[in-house]
Amino acid sequence: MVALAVSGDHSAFAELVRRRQGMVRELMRRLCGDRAFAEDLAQQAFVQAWRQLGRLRSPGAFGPWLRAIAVNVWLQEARRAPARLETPDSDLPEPDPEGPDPADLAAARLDLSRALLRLKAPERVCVVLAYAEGLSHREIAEATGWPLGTVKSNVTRGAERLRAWLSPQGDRDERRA
Amino acid sequence: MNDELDPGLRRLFASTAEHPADEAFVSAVTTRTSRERLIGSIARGMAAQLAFTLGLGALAAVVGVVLDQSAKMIAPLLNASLLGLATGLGLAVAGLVCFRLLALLATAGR
Repeated sequence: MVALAVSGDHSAFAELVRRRQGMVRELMRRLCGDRAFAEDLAQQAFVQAWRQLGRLRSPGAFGPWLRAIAVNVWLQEARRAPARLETPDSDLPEPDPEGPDPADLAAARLDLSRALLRLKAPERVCVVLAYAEGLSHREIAEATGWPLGTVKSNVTRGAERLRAWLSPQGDRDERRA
Repeated sequence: MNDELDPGLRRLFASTAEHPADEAFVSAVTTRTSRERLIGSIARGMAAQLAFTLGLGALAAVVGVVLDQSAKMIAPLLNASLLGLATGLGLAVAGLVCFRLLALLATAGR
C-alpha cells in the first residue's frame, strides 16, 4: 500500500490516511488540547506526508516517518504561534479536591489535557511520545531530532510536573508557591 | 517502550486514549492532496509547454537565420536553370519534412 502511494496512487494514499488517522489525530489532540486545531494540524501532517512521499526511504518505515512529520508540524506551529498551544495557569480551573472520579473518563481526559497544556513544548512532546505513543527515548530522539540526553530530561521533568499537577495536593502547593 | 516510565501516568494515558477514525477526515485530507496534485500537474504541464515553445522559437530563429543567409545562394540557382529550380524545390521539401518532424516530436513530447 505504501509502495503504491509512493508511486503516485492517490487511492492508496487515501487508504493509508484511513489506517493511520487514529495515531496522528490522537497525537495532535494530546499535543494541542483544542480539538479543532488538532484536526487541522493532523490534516496538515498528512498533506506534508503526501508532498514528501518521494523521500521515504523504506515503505516499512512509513509509520515512524509519518509520526516524525506530525511532530515537526506541531513543533513548527509551537514556534510560530506558541500562545495558541499554551494555556495560562489563570485560565485553569482548580482541580477537584477529591481528585477526578476514576469512573469519570471524560474528567480524567480533561484534567490530563489541561495538565499537558501547562508543560513547555519540548517537555509536552517528549512526554506524549513516551507515555501515549509508547516510544523509547531513542525513538523520540529520532522523531524530534533532539539529542538523547535532552529527550531523557524532558520526559523525566515533564512527567514529574504532570504528576505534581494531577495530584490535587501538589497542584495547590504549586499555586501557593 | 521505556521501563522507567511512571506506571500511574502510563495507565492514565492508556485509559484516556482515543482512536478517532472517520471518513470525513479522510475526505478532508484527500480533497487537499487532490487539489495539490491538480495544481502540480497544471504547473508541470505549463512548464513543459513553455520549454517546448521556447525550444521551438529558438529553432525557428536558427532556421530563419540560416534561410536568410542561404537566400543569396538559392535565389540565383532558382533563376538560373532547371537544375537550380529543382534544387530550390528540394530545399523547400526538406524544409517541410523538417517541419513535419518537429510537429511529430511536439506530439510525442506532450
